[in-house]
Amino acid sequence: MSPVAIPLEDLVPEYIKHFTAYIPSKPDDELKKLYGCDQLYRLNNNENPLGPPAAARPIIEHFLAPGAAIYPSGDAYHLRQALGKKFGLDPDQFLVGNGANEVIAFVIKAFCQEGDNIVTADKTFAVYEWIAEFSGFAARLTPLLDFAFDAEAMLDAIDKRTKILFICNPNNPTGTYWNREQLTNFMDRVDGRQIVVIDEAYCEFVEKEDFPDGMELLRRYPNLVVFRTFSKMYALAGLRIGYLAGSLEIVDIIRRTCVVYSVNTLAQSAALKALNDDQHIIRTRNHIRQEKARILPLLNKLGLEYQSGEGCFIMIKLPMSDTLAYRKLMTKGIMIRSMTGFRFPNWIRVSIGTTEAMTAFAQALTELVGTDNKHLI
Amino acid sequence: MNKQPRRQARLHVRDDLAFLPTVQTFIENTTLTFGLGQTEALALTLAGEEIFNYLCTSVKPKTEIEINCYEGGYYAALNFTLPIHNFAMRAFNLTATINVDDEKSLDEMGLIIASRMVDYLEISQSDSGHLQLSLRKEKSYPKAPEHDRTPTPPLTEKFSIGTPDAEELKFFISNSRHYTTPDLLPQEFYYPGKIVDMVNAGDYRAAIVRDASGRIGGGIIWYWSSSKMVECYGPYILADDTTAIPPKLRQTMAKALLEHCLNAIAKSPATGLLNRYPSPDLPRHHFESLGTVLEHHNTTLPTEIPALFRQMQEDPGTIAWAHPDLEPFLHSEYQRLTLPREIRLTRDSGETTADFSVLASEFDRSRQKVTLRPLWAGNDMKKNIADHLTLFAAEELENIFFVMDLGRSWQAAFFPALSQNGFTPRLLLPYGGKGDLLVLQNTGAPS
Repeated sequence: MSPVAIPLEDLVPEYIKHFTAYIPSKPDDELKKLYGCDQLYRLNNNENPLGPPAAARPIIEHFLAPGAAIYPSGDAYHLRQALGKKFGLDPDQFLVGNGANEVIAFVIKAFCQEGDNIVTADKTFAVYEWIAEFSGFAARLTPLLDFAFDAEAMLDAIDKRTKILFICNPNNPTGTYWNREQLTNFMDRVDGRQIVVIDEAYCEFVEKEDFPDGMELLRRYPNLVVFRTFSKMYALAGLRIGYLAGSLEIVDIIRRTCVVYSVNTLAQSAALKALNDDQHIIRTRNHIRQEKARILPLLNKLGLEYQSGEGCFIMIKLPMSDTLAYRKLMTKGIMIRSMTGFRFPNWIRVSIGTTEAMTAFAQALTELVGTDNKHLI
Repeated sequence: MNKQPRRQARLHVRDDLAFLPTVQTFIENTTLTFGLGQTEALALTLAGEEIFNYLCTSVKPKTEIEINCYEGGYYAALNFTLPIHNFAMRAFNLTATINVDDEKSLDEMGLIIASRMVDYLEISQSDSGHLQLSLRKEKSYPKAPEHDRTPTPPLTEKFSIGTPDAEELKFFISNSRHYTTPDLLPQEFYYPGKIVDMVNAGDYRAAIVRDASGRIGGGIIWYWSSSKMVECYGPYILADDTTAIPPKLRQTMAKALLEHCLNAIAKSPATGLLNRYPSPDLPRHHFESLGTVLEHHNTTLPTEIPALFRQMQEDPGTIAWAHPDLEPFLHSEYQRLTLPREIRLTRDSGETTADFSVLASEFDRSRQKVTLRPLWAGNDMKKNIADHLTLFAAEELENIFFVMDLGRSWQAAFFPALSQNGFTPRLLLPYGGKGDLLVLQNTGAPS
């Protein structure tokens, strides 16, 4: 009997047919084998090189096996209590998700229906655009202005079907940010007509006085939703935990699309401890500052254009294809993020890693841009 | 991505010659409705008749055949689709029912006759296991006059990149010829109306550079050459040495055009961007050189066509299946291109193999080009390839390619037969298929 042909042409929605799946990188052992390197420094995902906060480490190290058999708190009860206390908000103003990516999906599902759109920048964290598009909603993208979100362009892009505006503050990958005045001006002009999401995934890295605290603005703007994550500063990326905050009214709507039990017990417990480890933030900021101070003069010396703003990463423009640079750096055991996919062709983004990793990166980069690549052209 | 054709008509018929008039009427009326001229519609109808006749008399699938007629804007296309398991695949070798040493026999070969009447014919296997015969006939377009150069005044420093309207696009295409040597310009650029229709059909994308006064300084065209590969023409800047566009501005405009194209496909399924006509303004540092192929034009000395390429995504590494004889080439190329590949060698371990091989053919008569792709490996590979070459020689097709998918282990077995028939590996297209595609070209000298 011949196999039944699945009528995929009829079954699959048009917006899925034209969507590309994100292919994560292979595990280290496979990559080292393929690229022929003995050591691999991952400087591609903006992870915290210092690891999880000291307060959270015992929780992770002593997690007992029987705990794995028990369902976690379905709505991260204790963590939400702690978040409420830390930010002076009602615990019900928080929703915890399996990483910030999941809460992006919650918000889009909660507010968008067929024909609606979201507005964001063309060169920012890609997941807002991805989730909108594979859910069948248009993503209206506005160009950055001097590497920063362009408020005027975003406001101009709004139409009657615009439901959500996504702003990454500070922006990944450029590190630019809107200060308090820029953000409040923007919120005033939106005037509550759309949901405004401020993604503050990297806010804990920012040391600038005029950087706005989204949590404080929640009282003033009931249409504001703030995203934060434990993956970056708090170094719990492997446990997948992030959250959003908003007005009670808005969060009540978003909760209807929320997948409960999606955040595991260990993640909730570790995040609870990490949340108030302020020393960890100070240590991390010092490290990032020191390593940037070592790398930036080298970039100047090599004559490379770069964009170094707030956050634990630097963007560097290369005199060659970034995807070729990715392969060449991989053979030297350095994994960076090529930026063609972010619509920054020939740029790479390097995360600030350990001192050892940054030394290795500096050496590999020097060799790369010093190499005569004419045989490739 | 390519847009869907605008209109479509479908006919289901049994493989019975009694339906030939029905098929004929269907194709002729539909293609006329889709805007083909009488001559082109007649040619496509005759080609369709030949295919249907061939299916009924030679293939005999004993099943229903689906005939789809598509409107493509600048062309009309026919697709014959039938389930593959109902007949011997061997029948789809172009040489299956003829004696290649007998010239008269060639004229009786329906598929070959059909290929002569259309601009494009492809025999392929769909992902769902169906066999497809695709034919395309393009509308005829007037060639742009030789002396229609419009002087382009110098542009101001402030410019923007945007999508052209039809007249702007024709202006860019017509004038590109006057600032570019012919070998760096694709044939389509001699037919501006055709490019307008190709853009309107969604097959081509275009962007131009304009200054604040609307003066056009150049442009770029790109299209999906396969489901994973995008190819671009340009950027072409409309200025020569006597035109007062400062070199720095010229470079900035070319870079902006290329980056516009790159950004447009950045989040698409494209694994690579290819450029085979590297204009002097192409920012070369964005690209890597994959190699070259030779293009013959009516027995004149062949032109060496480079393949400049850039990956659009980070390379996660993959496996390349290869016959041991191919390993030195692959090893050397993978090292030169810094491509992370595990070469796995295939060996004949005495297992039973099929008696007959099957090859799919794609004709591009406008370039005297034919591309073979393997559908099935078998013991007669060397003879089958040789027979195809004899047939192509009789058809005066000089540019003969074979594309092998290194991600599919069974295709590796073709390499010795190809080598013995004068095919030489020319270049690798990373992730062009399930794995990398190896493009071999027939250079006429069997090893």
